[in-house]
Amino acid sequence: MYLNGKFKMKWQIISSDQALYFHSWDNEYVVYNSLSGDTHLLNLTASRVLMKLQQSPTDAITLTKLIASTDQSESNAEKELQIEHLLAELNTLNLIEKCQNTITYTPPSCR
Amino acid sequence: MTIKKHQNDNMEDKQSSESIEDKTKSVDPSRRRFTKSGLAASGVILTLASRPVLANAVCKSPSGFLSGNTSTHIVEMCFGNYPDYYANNPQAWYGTQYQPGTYNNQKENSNSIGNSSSTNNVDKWVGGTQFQEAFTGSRRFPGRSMMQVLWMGDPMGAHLCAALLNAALGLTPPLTEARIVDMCLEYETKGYFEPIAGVHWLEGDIIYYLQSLA
Repeated sequence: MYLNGKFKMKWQIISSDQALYFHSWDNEYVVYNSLSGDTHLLNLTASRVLMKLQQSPTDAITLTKLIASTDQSESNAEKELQIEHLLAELNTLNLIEKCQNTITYTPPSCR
Repeated sequence: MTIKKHQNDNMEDKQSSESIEDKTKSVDPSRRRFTKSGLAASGVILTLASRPVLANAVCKSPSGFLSGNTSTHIVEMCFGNYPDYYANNPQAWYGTQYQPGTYNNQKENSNSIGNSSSTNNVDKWVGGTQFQEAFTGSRRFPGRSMMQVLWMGDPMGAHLCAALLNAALGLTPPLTEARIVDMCLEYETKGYFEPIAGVHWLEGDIIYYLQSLA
Protein backbone atom coordinates (compact mmCIF):
# COMPACT_ATOMS: atom_id res chain seq x y z
CA MET A 1 0.00 0.00 0.00
CA TYR A 2 1.35 3.42 -0.82
CA LEU A 3 0.34 7.03 -0.82
CA ASN A 4 -0.24 8.98 -3.99
CA GLY A 5 2.88 10.84 -4.92
CA LYS A 6 5.18 8.55 -2.93
CA PHE A 7 6.81 7.21 -6.06
CA LYS A 8 7.64 10.78 -7.08
CA MET A 9 9.93 11.11 -4.08
CA LYS A 10 13.51 11.45 -5.27
CA TRP A 11 16.41 9.50 -3.88
CA GLN A 12 20.14 10.25 -3.85
CA ILE A 13 23.37 8.96 -2.44
CA ILE A 14 23.94 10.27 1.05
CA SER A 15 26.78 12.69 0.77
CA SER A 16 29.10 14.25 -1.74
CA ASP A 17 31.88 12.81 0.41
CA GLN A 18 30.49 9.32 -0.03
CA ALA A 19 32.50 7.10 -2.34
CA LEU A 20 31.05 3.86 -3.70
CA TYR A 21 33.48 1.34 -5.13
CA PHE A 22 32.04 -1.29 -7.45
CA HIS A 23 33.44 -4.60 -8.63
CA SER A 24 31.42 -7.11 -10.63
CA TRP A 25 31.42 -10.83 -11.17
CA ASP A 26 28.87 -11.96 -13.77
CA ASN A 27 25.67 -10.15 -12.82
CA GLU A 28 26.53 -9.54 -9.19
CA TYR A 29 28.31 -6.53 -7.81
CA VAL A 30 30.37 -6.02 -4.69
CA VAL A 31 30.04 -2.44 -3.48
CA TYR A 32 32.13 -0.81 -0.78
CA ASN A 33 30.63 2.27 0.89
CA SER A 34 33.36 4.56 2.23
CA LEU A 35 30.86 6.39 4.42
CA SER A 36 29.80 3.37 6.48
CA GLY A 37 32.71 1.06 5.80
CA ASP A 38 30.25 -1.67 4.84
CA THR A 39 30.57 -3.97 1.85
CA HIS A 40 27.46 -5.15 0.01
CA LEU A 41 26.77 -7.87 -2.52
CA LEU A 42 24.10 -6.62 -4.92
CA ASN A 43 22.34 -8.08 -7.90
CA LEU A 44 22.38 -6.34 -11.28
CA THR A 45 19.23 -4.30 -10.69
CA ALA A 46 20.31 -2.97 -7.32
CA SER A 47 23.73 -2.02 -8.60
CA ARG A 48 22.26 -0.23 -11.62
CA VAL A 49 19.90 1.69 -9.34
CA LEU A 50 22.81 2.72 -7.15
CA MET A 51 24.94 3.76 -10.11
CA LYS A 52 22.09 5.84 -11.45
CA LEU A 53 21.60 7.59 -8.13
CA GLN A 54 25.30 8.32 -8.04
CA GLN A 55 24.82 10.34 -11.21
CA SER A 56 21.79 12.30 -10.07
CA PRO A 57 18.80 12.19 -7.71
CA THR A 58 15.98 10.15 -9.25
CA ASP A 59 12.53 8.93 -8.33
CA ALA A 60 11.27 5.34 -8.41
CA ILE A 61 9.16 5.79 -11.53
CA THR A 62 12.09 7.07 -13.56
CA LEU A 63 14.32 4.31 -12.21
CA THR A 64 11.76 1.69 -13.20
CA LYS A 65 11.66 2.99 -16.76
CA LEU A 66 15.43 3.08 -16.98
CA ILE A 67 16.08 -0.31 -15.46
CA ALA A 68 12.92 -2.34 -16.05
CA SER A 69 13.58 -5.79 -17.41
CA THR A 70 12.12 -6.99 -20.65
CA ASP A 71 10.00 -9.43 -18.69
CA GLN A 72 6.46 -8.51 -19.68
CA SER A 73 4.87 -10.82 -17.11
CA GLU A 74 5.00 -8.03 -14.54
CA SER A 75 2.90 -4.92 -14.74
CA ASN A 76 4.43 -1.47 -14.44
CA ALA A 77 2.81 -1.06 -11.05
CA GLU A 78 4.43 -4.26 -9.82
CA LYS A 79 7.81 -3.18 -11.15
CA GLU A 80 7.51 0.23 -9.51
CA LEU A 81 6.60 -1.38 -6.21
CA GLN A 82 9.63 -3.64 -6.40
CA ILE A 83 11.89 -0.69 -7.11
CA GLU A 84 10.34 1.19 -4.21
CA HIS A 85 11.09 -1.72 -1.89
CA LEU A 86 14.63 -1.89 -3.19
CA LEU A 87 15.12 1.82 -2.53
CA ALA A 88 13.86 1.37 1.03
CA GLU A 89 16.33 -1.44 1.50
CA LEU A 90 19.24 0.61 0.16
CA ASN A 91 18.18 3.42 2.48
CA THR A 92 18.24 1.07 5.47
CA LEU A 93 21.80 0.14 4.57
CA ASN A 94 22.85 3.82 4.52
CA LEU A 95 23.59 3.72 0.82
CA ILE A 96 20.98 6.29 -0.22
CA GLU A 97 18.61 8.82 1.33
CA LYS A 98 15.43 10.61 0.36
CA CYS A 99 15.65 14.06 -1.14
CA GLN A 100 12.19 14.97 0.03
CA ASN A 101 10.24 13.66 2.97
CA THR A 102 6.61 13.83 3.90
CA ILE A 103 7.52 14.14 7.57
CA THR A 104 7.59 17.74 8.67
CA TYR A 105 11.23 18.51 9.16
CA THR A 106 13.66 20.22 6.87
CA PRO A 107 14.77 17.59 4.37
CA PRO A 108 18.19 17.51 2.81
CA SER A 109 18.00 19.30 -0.47
CA CYS A 110 18.67 17.45 -3.67
CA ARG A 111 22.12 18.11 -5.00
CA MET B 1 5.43 -10.91 -6.39
CA THR B 2 6.92 -10.85 -2.87
CA ILE B 3 10.03 -8.79 -2.51
CA LYS B 4 12.68 -10.77 -0.64
CA LYS B 5 14.32 -8.24 1.68
CA HIS B 6 17.71 -8.47 3.37
CA GLN B 7 17.30 -11.25 5.95
CA ASN B 8 18.43 -11.00 9.59
CA ASP B 9 20.40 -14.22 9.34
CA ASN B 10 22.54 -12.61 6.69
CA MET B 11 23.29 -9.68 9.02
CA GLU B 12 24.81 -12.15 11.52
CA ASP B 13 27.33 -12.98 8.83
CA LYS B 14 28.98 -9.65 9.62
CA GLN B 15 30.96 -11.41 12.27
CA SER B 16 31.90 -14.33 10.08
CA SER B 17 35.47 -14.73 9.07
CA GLU B 18 34.42 -15.93 5.62
CA SER B 19 35.62 -13.88 2.69
CA ILE B 20 33.26 -12.28 0.20
CA GLU B 21 34.34 -14.84 -2.38
CA ASP B 22 33.42 -17.67 -0.04
CA LYS B 23 30.06 -16.04 0.51
CA THR B 24 29.25 -15.86 -3.16
CA LYS B 25 30.14 -19.51 -3.56
CA SER B 26 27.92 -20.49 -0.66
CA VAL B 27 24.78 -18.72 -1.95
CA ASP B 28 21.87 -21.13 -2.22
CA PRO B 29 21.36 -21.83 -5.94
CA SER B 30 17.58 -21.73 -5.53
CA ARG B 31 17.94 -18.25 -4.07
CA ARG B 32 20.17 -17.23 -6.92
CA ARG B 33 17.44 -18.31 -9.35
CA PHE B 34 14.91 -16.30 -7.35
CA THR B 35 16.98 -13.17 -7.68
CA LYS B 36 16.71 -13.48 -11.41
CA SER B 37 12.97 -13.95 -11.44
CA GLY B 38 11.89 -10.52 -10.26
CA LEU B 39 12.96 -7.06 -11.30
CA ALA B 40 14.45 -6.14 -7.93
CA ALA B 41 13.84 -9.22 -5.82
CA SER B 42 16.63 -9.72 -3.26
CA GLY B 43 18.48 -6.73 -4.67
CA VAL B 44 20.86 -6.74 -1.72
CA ILE B 45 22.07 -10.29 -1.35
CA LEU B 46 24.25 -9.76 1.71
CA THR B 47 26.11 -7.11 3.67
CA LEU B 48 29.39 -7.30 5.49
CA ALA B 49 29.41 -4.52 8.03
CA SER B 50 32.73 -3.01 9.01
CA ARG B 51 31.74 -2.37 12.57
CA PRO B 52 31.81 -5.14 15.20
CA VAL B 53 28.91 -5.80 17.56
CA LEU B 54 30.66 -3.79 20.26
CA ALA B 55 30.79 -0.69 18.13
CA ASN B 56 33.30 1.93 19.19
CA ALA B 57 34.66 -0.38 21.85
CA VAL B 58 37.24 -1.98 19.60
CA CYS B 59 40.02 0.30 18.49
CA LYS B 60 41.24 0.05 14.96
CA SER B 61 43.99 1.64 12.98
CA PRO B 62 42.76 3.37 9.81
CA SER B 63 43.49 0.32 7.64
CA GLY B 64 41.89 -1.96 10.21
CA PHE B 65 38.81 0.25 10.27
CA LEU B 66 38.51 -0.24 6.53
CA SER B 67 38.95 -3.99 6.41
CA GLY B 68 36.81 -4.58 9.42
CA ASN B 69 37.54 -7.00 12.21
CA THR B 70 35.55 -10.08 11.30
CA SER B 71 36.83 -11.88 14.37
CA THR B 72 34.87 -11.63 17.57
CA HIS B 73 38.08 -11.52 19.61
CA ILE B 74 38.54 -8.03 21.02
CA VAL B 75 42.12 -6.92 20.57
CA GLU B 76 42.18 -3.45 22.04
CA MET B 77 39.68 -1.11 23.61
CA CYS B 78 39.19 2.57 22.91
CA PHE B 79 38.28 5.11 25.54
CA GLY B 80 38.77 8.31 23.60
CA ASN B 81 36.97 11.57 24.33
CA TYR B 82 35.13 13.92 22.01
CA PRO B 83 36.38 17.45 21.25
CA ASP B 84 33.92 19.16 23.58
CA TYR B 85 35.28 17.20 26.52
CA TYR B 86 38.76 18.63 26.05
CA ALA B 87 37.34 22.07 25.30
CA ASN B 88 35.47 22.11 28.59
CA ASN B 89 37.99 20.24 30.74
CA PRO B 90 41.45 21.79 30.40
CA GLN B 91 42.60 19.74 33.38
CA ALA B 92 42.15 16.64 31.20
CA TRP B 93 45.17 17.78 29.19
CA TYR B 94 47.49 17.15 32.16
CA GLY B 95 49.79 14.24 31.49
CA THR B 96 50.29 15.22 27.86
CA GLN B 97 52.88 17.51 26.36
CA TYR B 98 50.11 19.81 25.11
CA GLN B 99 49.06 22.87 27.06
CA PRO B 100 45.45 24.14 27.01
CA GLY B 101 46.48 27.72 27.72
CA THR B 102 44.85 30.19 30.03
CA TYR B 103 41.31 31.42 30.06
CA ASN B 104 41.41 35.18 30.11
CA ASN B 105 38.69 36.11 32.50
CA GLN B 106 39.13 39.45 34.21
CA LYS B 107 37.16 38.25 37.18
CA GLU B 108 39.63 35.51 37.99
CA ASN B 109 43.36 35.30 38.73
CA SER B 110 45.07 35.86 35.41
CA ASN B 111 47.36 32.87 35.96
CA SER B 112 44.66 30.39 36.71
CA ILE B 113 42.83 28.19 34.29
CA GLY B 114 39.35 29.51 34.28
CA ASN B 115 36.08 27.66 34.25
CA SER B 116 35.54 27.25 30.57
CA SER B 117 31.99 26.02 30.85
CA SER B 118 30.76 29.53 30.09
CA THR B 119 33.34 30.19 27.39
CA ASN B 120 31.97 30.83 23.96
CA ASN B 121 34.66 33.15 22.74
CA VAL B 122 37.65 31.56 21.09
CA ASP B 123 39.86 34.55 21.81
CA LYS B 124 39.38 34.28 25.56
CA TRP B 125 41.85 31.43 25.54
CA VAL B 126 45.44 32.67 25.43
CA GLY B 127 48.72 30.83 25.27
CA GLY B 128 48.69 27.08 25.05
CA THR B 129 50.18 24.76 22.49
CA GLN B 130 49.74 26.12 18.98
CA PHE B 131 47.97 23.91 16.46
CA GLN B 132 50.88 24.22 14.03
CA GLU B 133 53.28 23.29 16.81
CA ALA B 134 51.36 20.10 17.57
CA PHE B 135 50.78 19.32 13.90
CA THR B 136 54.23 20.21 12.63
CA GLY B 137 54.12 21.04 8.95
CA SER B 138 50.46 22.00 8.91
CA ARG B 139 49.43 25.32 7.42
CA ARG B 140 46.00 25.34 8.97
CA PHE B 141 44.90 27.57 11.86
CA PRO B 142 47.95 29.86 11.91
CA GLY B 143 48.32 31.65 15.21
CA ARG B 144 45.66 29.46 16.84
CA SER B 145 46.17 27.21 19.82
CA MET B 146 44.72 23.71 20.01
CA MET B 147 42.22 24.94 22.59
CA GLN B 148 41.12 27.72 20.30
CA VAL B 149 40.70 25.27 17.43
CA LEU B 150 38.51 23.12 19.70
CA TRP B 151 36.24 26.12 20.20
CA MET B 152 36.27 27.43 16.63
CA GLY B 153 33.61 25.04 15.37
CA ASP B 154 35.73 23.50 12.64
CA PRO B 155 34.85 19.78 12.81
CA MET B 156 38.04 18.50 11.23
CA GLY B 157 40.34 20.67 13.34
CA ALA B 158 38.47 19.88 16.54
CA HIS B 159 38.48 16.12 15.97
CA LEU B 160 42.16 16.15 15.07
CA CYS B 161 43.00 17.98 18.29
CA ALA B 162 40.87 15.59 20.33
CA ALA B 163 42.40 12.60 18.59
CA LEU B 164 45.89 13.89 19.34
CA LEU B 165 45.07 14.35 23.01
CA ASN B 166 43.45 10.92 23.16
CA ALA B 167 46.55 9.35 21.66
CA ALA B 168 48.85 11.27 24.00
CA LEU B 169 46.88 9.95 26.96
CA GLY B 170 47.03 6.40 25.63
CA LEU B 171 43.27 6.17 25.20
CA THR B 172 43.31 4.97 21.57
CA PRO B 173 46.13 2.42 21.31
CA PRO B 174 46.21 1.65 17.60
CA LEU B 175 46.35 5.30 16.64
CA THR B 176 49.55 7.09 17.57
CA GLU B 177 50.19 10.82 17.68
CA ALA B 178 52.54 10.53 14.74
CA ARG B 179 49.86 8.77 12.70
CA ILE B 180 47.33 11.48 13.48
CA VAL B 181 49.76 14.19 12.41
CA ASP B 182 50.46 12.27 9.21
CA MET B 183 46.73 11.99 8.59
CA CYS B 184 46.35 15.74 8.98
CA LEU B 185 49.26 16.59 6.71
CA GLU B 186 48.31 14.09 4.02
CA TYR B 187 44.77 15.49 3.93
CA GLU B 188 46.12 19.05 3.66
CA THR B 189 48.52 18.09 0.90
CA LYS B 190 46.40 15.77 -1.21
CA GLY B 191 42.86 16.68 -0.23
CA TYR B 192 42.31 13.17 1.12
CA PHE B 193 43.85 10.59 3.43
CA GLU B 194 44.73 7.17 2.09
CA PRO B 195 44.44 4.54 4.85
CA ILE B 196 45.26 1.78 2.37
CA ALA B 197 46.31 1.99 -1.23
CA GLY B 198 43.53 3.12 -3.51
CA VAL B 199 41.10 4.20 -0.81
CA HIS B 200 40.65 7.93 -0.32
CA TRP B 201 39.11 9.33 2.81
CA LEU B 202 37.68 12.80 2.54
CA GLU B 203 36.93 15.05 5.50
CA GLY B 204 33.69 13.30 6.37
CA ASP B 205 35.36 9.89 6.28
CA ILE B 206 38.21 11.04 8.52
CA ILE B 207 35.84 12.57 11.05
CA TYR B 208 33.68 9.44 10.98
CA TYR B 209 36.75 7.33 11.77
CA LEU B 210 38.01 9.64 14.54
CA GLN B 211 34.56 9.63 16.12
CA SER B 212 34.62 5.86 16.19
CA LEU B 213 37.55 5.95 18.58
CA ALA B 214 35.53 7.69 21.29
